[in-house]
Amino acid sequence: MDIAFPAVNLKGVLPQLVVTSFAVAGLLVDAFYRSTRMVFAISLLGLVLALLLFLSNWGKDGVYEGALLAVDNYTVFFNILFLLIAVATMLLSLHYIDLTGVDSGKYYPLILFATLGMMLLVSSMDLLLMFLSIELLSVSMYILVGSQRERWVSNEAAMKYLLMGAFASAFLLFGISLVFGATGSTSFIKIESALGGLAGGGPFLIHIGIAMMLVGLGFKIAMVPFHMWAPDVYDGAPTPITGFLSTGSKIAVFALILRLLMNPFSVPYSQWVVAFWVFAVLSMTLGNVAALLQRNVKRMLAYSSIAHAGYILIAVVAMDGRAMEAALLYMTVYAIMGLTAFGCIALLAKGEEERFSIEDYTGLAYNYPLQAVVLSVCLLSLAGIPLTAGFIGKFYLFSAAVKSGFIGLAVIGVLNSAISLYYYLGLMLRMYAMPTVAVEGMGHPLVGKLAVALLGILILVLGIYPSPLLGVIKEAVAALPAI
Amino acid sequence: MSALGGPGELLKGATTMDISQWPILSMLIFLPVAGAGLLFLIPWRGDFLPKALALVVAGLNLLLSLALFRAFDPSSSGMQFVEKARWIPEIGASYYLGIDGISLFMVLITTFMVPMALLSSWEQVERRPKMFYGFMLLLEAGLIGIFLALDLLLFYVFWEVMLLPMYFLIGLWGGAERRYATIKLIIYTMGGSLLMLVAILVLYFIHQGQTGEYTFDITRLYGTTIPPQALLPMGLAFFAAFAVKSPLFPFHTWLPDAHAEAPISGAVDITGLLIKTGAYAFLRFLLPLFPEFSISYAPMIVMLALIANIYGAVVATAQQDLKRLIAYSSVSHVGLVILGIFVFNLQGVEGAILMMVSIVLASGGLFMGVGMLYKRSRSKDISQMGGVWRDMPLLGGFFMFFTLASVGIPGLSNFVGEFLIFLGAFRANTFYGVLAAFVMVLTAVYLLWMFWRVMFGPSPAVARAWQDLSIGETVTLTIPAIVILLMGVYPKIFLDRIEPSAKGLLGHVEKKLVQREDLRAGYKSSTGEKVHGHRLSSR
Repeated sequence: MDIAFPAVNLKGVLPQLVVTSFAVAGLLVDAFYRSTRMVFAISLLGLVLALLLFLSNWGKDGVYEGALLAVDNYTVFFNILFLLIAVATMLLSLHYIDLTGVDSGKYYPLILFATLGMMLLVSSMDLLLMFLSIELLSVSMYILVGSQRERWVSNEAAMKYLLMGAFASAFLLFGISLVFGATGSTSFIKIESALGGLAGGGPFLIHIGIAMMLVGLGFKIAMVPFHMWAPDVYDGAPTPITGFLSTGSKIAVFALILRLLMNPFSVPYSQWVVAFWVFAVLSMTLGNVAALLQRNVKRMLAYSSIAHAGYILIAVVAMDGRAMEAALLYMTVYAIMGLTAFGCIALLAKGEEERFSIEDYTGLAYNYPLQAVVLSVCLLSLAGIPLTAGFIGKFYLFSAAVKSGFIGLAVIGVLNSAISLYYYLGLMLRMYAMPTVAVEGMGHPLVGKLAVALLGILILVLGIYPSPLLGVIKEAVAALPAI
Repeated sequence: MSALGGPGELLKGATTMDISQWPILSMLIFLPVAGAGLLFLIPWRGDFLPKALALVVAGLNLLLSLALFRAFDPSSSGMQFVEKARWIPEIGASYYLGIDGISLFMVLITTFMVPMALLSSWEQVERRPKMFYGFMLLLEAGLIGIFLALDLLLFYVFWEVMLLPMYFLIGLWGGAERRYATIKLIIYTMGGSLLMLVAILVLYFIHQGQTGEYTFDITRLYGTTIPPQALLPMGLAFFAAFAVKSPLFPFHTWLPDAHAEAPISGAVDITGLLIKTGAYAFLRFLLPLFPEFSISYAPMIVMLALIANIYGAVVATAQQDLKRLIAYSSVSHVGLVILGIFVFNLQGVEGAILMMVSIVLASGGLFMGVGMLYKRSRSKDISQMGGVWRDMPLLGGFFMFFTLASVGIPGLSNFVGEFLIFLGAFRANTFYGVLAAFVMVLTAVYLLWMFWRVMFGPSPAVARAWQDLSIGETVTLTIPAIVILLMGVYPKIFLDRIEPSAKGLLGHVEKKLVQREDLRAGYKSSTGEKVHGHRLSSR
């Protein structure tokens, strides 16, 4: 295997470099000055700068040939999304982590490293870079999940995540090596041309390779049956990180899966439709049914997040232009919803303690009106009630499924939505019920409240007037090779 | 659409008039929304101001709808006061509103009943009246939206969103078993309508396949030819969504629970307002979109309707709880409405529309009476009442009036609707007519027996000091009573406006059916025969 030093266009990776250098700068500042505020400011500045750079990249022609990285509207779209997710996570963490005993000097730079992993992952055009990005993302996440060193659940979650994640990475790596063995290359473009000429979707080896990779990637998106880790990790992690993990990390891997299926594996994909169909149905159904039984809000949302991965898999099954748009739309919407939900939970904490149990939410609306309203909007959106972004997202997904002829899948999807109403609306109603015991109010930082309020408004705006976002997504999808 | 010969004719010729310079339909929807926004957002002190504000908003909406009624052109069968704007152009969804003779009275009865419900709950909502009134206004907006939407996606949005205020109203102010009741309500109704969403999408893509245009505009979708293999599942999905909400037997089981647990004034709206969205949707969507389905499965639907009619009446007889009794009487009455719709003649459809309006008034009046009784007795159990007439003759009088109206005494509103439905049923099939008329007797039995037990039955030995109606309560009950009388004595003002639209609807269904028969002359001779037996007839 010859690895020529690729002619990297430095301008193309400038935003990634910015994020890297600001993350390192943050760590150094922490090492020498131990000023949390400064680390926070530096990290935020790095994210914002990268965001501006990406915005200027929007709409330009794609650059792929001979490069490891793709810079086109598709990747720029996701990069911007990840940066926004990271900014939101940082704003929501601001007060929370000080209260819960997290070493914030490492916390913010690690968020930057994780974001860098996502950014590189979605842009990678080579299996090796893909693997490296996933590892960068995962290792940062392992540490972030365990950053509440005083709480043993946090440590347990980190350990569980690390062990399972390492196992999944091994599968991924094995899959990559098999694909390399079958095609003789790790570059997406070369793999595609090697597979393009073969009848029957390529040799059997490639299918084993894809299966192995799917195990590794399926673990990262918490797709049933590779979901076992998710509830424990989501429950144990600091809440803003749970939001970050369930949105950013999941979306990054999904974006990669879509790219893989579009680009190098478009030929063998046709034989994997049934498998994805099964995964979609399993994820939706198991996620929703398990969420019904939870008494812990974070675990409930963890299972619901598994179900949402199942919804996005509907688009993977349908896989045409409309489905791609639906997938991008749903991921964007899901990012907003996930951040809002976990953000609200973080902002409903009483002091150092979080409210886990569903019973703790009884009558909260009267002491925390803002958080309760935003969380209600978010739960409605998660349930897919019209006039929220979640409805538009689900509508697009189901219409993509119907258009491609997977009406059965759409029916299973809507039935799952009906099941999910039970626990989403149940939690919502509970917040507005009369409190049985007096709920003590407690102040929360204005920044966090503003952030969730903004997210909540965004959910409503996108639900009522989604056209601008739809236009952007259309352009992003147009950058991919036509199916 | 052009190839199919202008099926949009039903809605052609949208007339414009003086006040139609205003976006009056949007105002009807957004005025309550704005009112609710004010109620929720302003930190009010005390309860009186928010209550008064809600009442003023609801009253203004009523005036607005009366202005609409005056400006409405009774001679036209088309959509009037049409408003159309782009909403999500990417998928062809538009903000498209319009009103015709079918929806006119649905809107009017909604704008009429909401202030009534607010009035009747004036003294009764102890906890957080501000929120209660806000949700009532949101409910009103959602209901009006359902009746005015001419875009299938917009309709779906209102159809689903309307359930949320309902959910809150029952879930926060309901009885002891409210949690169970709300969950049942939501799972039933949303589960039903989510399947409809899939059917809407299938219809959307079929239409796109035939015309190359992505649209949710129902006037365009009316022209879609549904492939025969898709007809049954799609029709069923729509039918189930509407039947759950109607509620038609055997999809009715959520209603008695929701009804029994609902707050008194919220329940007025459940019986009347929520329910008639289902029957209305049959007329507006199922019949014109799936005429073949509607006609070929009409005998089965009519059977269900008749079963509902009898079953509701029989079960109502056995109820000890007043609210449950009225809920089952609604099940029974709704059966009659659906019978009227699916006999496919002018009398049936007109009767059904009139009946929908009338049920809201009569059951609503009855319900408000029960609410006032409940306020004094803290009980809905019939055995706890007895001898109420002696203590409260005024309430007894009103109670008798509404009971008789529900029974269908000539001169009161229910009679006109029932009579027209019987007429239509007899014309379609003597058996239907006989059976439906027989149920009248059962209705009289359970209602009058209930009345006797409450008013004259042996009263419990406990001493009670129940005050008769206050002036406010008397006014609240008098207003619907006047309208019931008006409808019963002079139904012409209603029928005049309903008739052109009802005719237009039936004409459209028949025309589309004939086209289909021409298109596929050989298709399924067996159903063709059934269609013939059911040949539509207009007066």
